[in-house]
Amino acid sequence: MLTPMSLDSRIDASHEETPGRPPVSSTPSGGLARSDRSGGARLVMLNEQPLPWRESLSAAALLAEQGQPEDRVATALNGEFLPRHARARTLLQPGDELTVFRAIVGG
Amino acid sequence: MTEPTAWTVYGTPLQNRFLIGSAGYPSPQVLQDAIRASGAQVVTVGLKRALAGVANDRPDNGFVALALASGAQLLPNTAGCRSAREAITLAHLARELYDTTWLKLEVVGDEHTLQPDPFELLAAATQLVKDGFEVFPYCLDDLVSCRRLLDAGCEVLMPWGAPIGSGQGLLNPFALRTLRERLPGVPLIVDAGIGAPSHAAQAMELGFDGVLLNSAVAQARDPVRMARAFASAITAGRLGFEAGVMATQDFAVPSTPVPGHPFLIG
Repeated sequence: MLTPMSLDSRIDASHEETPGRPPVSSTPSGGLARSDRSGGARLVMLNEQPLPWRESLSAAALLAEQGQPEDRVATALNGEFLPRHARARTLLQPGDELTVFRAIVGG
Repeated sequence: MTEPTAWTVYGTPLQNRFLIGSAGYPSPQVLQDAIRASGAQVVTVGLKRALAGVANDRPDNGFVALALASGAQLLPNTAGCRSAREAITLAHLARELYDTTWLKLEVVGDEHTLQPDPFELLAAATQLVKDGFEVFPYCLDDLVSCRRLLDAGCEVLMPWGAPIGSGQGLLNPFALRTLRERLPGVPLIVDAGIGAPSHAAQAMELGFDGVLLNSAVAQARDPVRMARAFASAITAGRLGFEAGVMATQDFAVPSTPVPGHPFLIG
């Protein structure tokens, strides 16, 4: 069983601190929800899509591999804001849920 | 002086008092034309979780690019949030995505009416102001909760006129008038519930500084023409407020200065 890990703890301490937020239960689109973790399946979730996890897989690498335009999306990791500048040094753990947000129209 | 006076929000001078939403238009071209017709200098936008497994999806079909190209100041919202925590997280996402500290803060407390949750809203606003955001809270028309938002550091308030998208107009003019009376100098924007240009004019005549609306334009048979209609109504209402609307009287007061009777018959 995985233990939820704070965002700050997985970022190299020599870098500036990343603003951390407590996990949230849900969002308008449901994307920030800490849904079922993959347990021993060694998967990561990208917008609820299960993908294989591997050692040293960073959030930036996962986004690039999935063709997400890094500069046109905003990300949350396990319900916490993950700033763009921290993606490359943020290593994903099995069961992590990376959520990608894009700009849309709004009222 | 025949144009409404300029106003300032968070240090940004604005000439136009129409803030327009970008959702629900029949086509990107209509949105672009409606923004132009409105003269709005502020356009609201949102965020959405990207589609799973779809790279480079364009969930907005280019609408946001058009909003950006309009030259307007973008005002991202936290639509759909039900708690302060959600709103705070989404706010940080929005700030990075749109590169602006402006934020239309929405924290809804009831699914049926989409009424703002004053408690979660205040909690979120308090934190977000500390985080450097310039918060535009979508709030109730309740004076005391509005004061708390100002205490938290909000420099503008956006009370609802009626439930979002209902088009019912100003359901509680007394409350709105009270806000104007008791919060002089605070930029006040009616947000939500406006359906017809006359509603917007009424809000402006009450002394509100601006009107934010979306559905009333986007759902009109001719959104571009309706955007123009609202622009005219908002200007008219503001000019009326600045000119000073006459006091109402219980009974007739003759306007033509004719003494006595024009004819003596019989």
